[in-house]
Amino acid sequence: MTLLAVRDLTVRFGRRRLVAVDSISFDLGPRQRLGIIGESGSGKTVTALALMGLLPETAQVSGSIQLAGRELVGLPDSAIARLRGDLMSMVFQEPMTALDPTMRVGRQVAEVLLLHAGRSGGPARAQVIEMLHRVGLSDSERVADSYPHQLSGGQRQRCLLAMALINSPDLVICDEPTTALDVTVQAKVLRLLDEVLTAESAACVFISHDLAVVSQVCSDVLVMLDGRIVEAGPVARLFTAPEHPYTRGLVATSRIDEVPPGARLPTVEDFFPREQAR
Amino acid sequence: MRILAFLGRRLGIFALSLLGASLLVFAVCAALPGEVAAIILGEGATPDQIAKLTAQLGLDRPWPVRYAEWVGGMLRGDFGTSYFTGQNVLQLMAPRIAVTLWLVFFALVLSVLVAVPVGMLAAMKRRSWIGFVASAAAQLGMAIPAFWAAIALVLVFAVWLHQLPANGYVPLTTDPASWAAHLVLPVISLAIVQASVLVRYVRSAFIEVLSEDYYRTARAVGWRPFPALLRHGLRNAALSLVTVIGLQLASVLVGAIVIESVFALPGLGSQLLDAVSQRDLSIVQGVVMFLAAAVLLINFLVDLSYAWIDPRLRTGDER
Repeated sequence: MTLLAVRDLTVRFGRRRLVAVDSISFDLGPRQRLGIIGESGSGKTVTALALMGLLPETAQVSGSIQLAGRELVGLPDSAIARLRGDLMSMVFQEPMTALDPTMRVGRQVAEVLLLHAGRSGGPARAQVIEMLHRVGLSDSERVADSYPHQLSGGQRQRCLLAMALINSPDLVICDEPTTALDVTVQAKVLRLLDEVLTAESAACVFISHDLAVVSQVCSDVLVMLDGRIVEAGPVARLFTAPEHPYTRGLVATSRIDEVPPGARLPTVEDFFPREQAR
Repeated sequence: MRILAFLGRRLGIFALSLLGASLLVFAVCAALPGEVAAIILGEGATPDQIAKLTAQLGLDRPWPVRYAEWVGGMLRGDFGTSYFTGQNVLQLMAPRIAVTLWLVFFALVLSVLVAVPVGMLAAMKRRSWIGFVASAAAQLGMAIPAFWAAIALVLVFAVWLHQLPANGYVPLTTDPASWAAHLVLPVISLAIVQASVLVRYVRSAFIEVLSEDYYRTARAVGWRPFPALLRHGLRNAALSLVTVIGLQLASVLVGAIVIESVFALPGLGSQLLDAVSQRDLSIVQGVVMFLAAAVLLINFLVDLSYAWIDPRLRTGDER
């Protein structure tokens, strides 16, 4: 049984109908973790926003996205809004700016409960505190009563994670959730993400430009290039036997620790020369 | 304590601005051509008589003395006496302050109540015809002079439909219903321009909110666009909007002067106009100083409201 089935998803932008995502297809089973990697402009974030139904008005979406058997393409926003934060949720790249600076963090998490579970007041607060605790915030009471500017980047990203997970969604989409964090915090948040996804038995689409990061969380990977999927498969196979020259370049650049000192570092272009420089 | 330092700084700025305003008001009135005594005595007055009356009024003394006396009096609640009638200026102003305050207060409230939803709509629907119509209406509203709107409203609602009084004023304590009826048209005339100006600021403030990450987060957890903007955008947008509204107060007061004479409202504005044409400078000084103080006070309160709206100012350390 598949949780998410994407068929020939195409996203065009504006009057000139620039193609950002070009008829991609993939499946995701329950509890499965799928990484999408690619450079900026490869269409990975647009794919994520299309799944969430959060693309700007100028976007035209065609193809099919089925979540738990429900077709999402062409569904009115009011219907998709009911699924967002409940059946599927999203963690964004910028923890520093993704929280409302004028509202206490606990209230922002509680809102998600109120919105979908209709729970508020004392019971909601208890659940918020517990969720914050589960995402690794040991002083969750204090964090809940803090404004975003009083928290560190790692703490804010955990709060966003708590918002995304509090309604036990079936699918969590993570768009470069650790890119803005420094490396030590990044490793902690990734481990945590791995734990809570397992605990909540949620499936995950994990977007990153970093193959090393994806391999820590995901079992399978899609490689996107210029809006198309150029390669797909289990992470292990991609590392050992990459087929597409672009993937070979990605693998080589993610293993710069194996380059002998003094030698020139590999670039993607060594493996996958472009016709014109971008 | 950060908030106390903030308060202290704002209070200092408020006091300094008040001092600057009083100097300016005094200097402009002192520099006006034409001697008060000559105007009071009329055309046939001899230079002797003029000099005598000038001395009587105390206008022959050096300006620092007169300034100190004026400011000192105001601090004690004494705004001086009218050069013409000899009446106490503050007592002359008192009944008129209420008229102007009601007019300005309702005009500001009405313009905010209209501009915020319309501006939000214009921001959200900026790519569709709804947003275009909202913006175009705001543009049109800005182009309409307040006095013209006033005359047009009087023509329709007072002359043709006989629904509302064309001019005049009834105090609230005398007859509340009639008081309200007399204020409706002046308030609307004054609010049209203000609301139109404000719509543009509201629109751009909310367009900014629409591109913020926290708005996207709100949408991602399931809020529909309008509730997301209300819950997470309003407070953030309010930070820039209260500044604009505070600044707008000055133009509302200027507008009130015009509107009061169109509708024959016995407010500070019409009093100021009368006093200027009569060269009754002690009344002019008193009224202008009162209006300046009101504007400065509101802007001081606006500064304070930042701390209430923005927790980053209220709660200490930034990490």
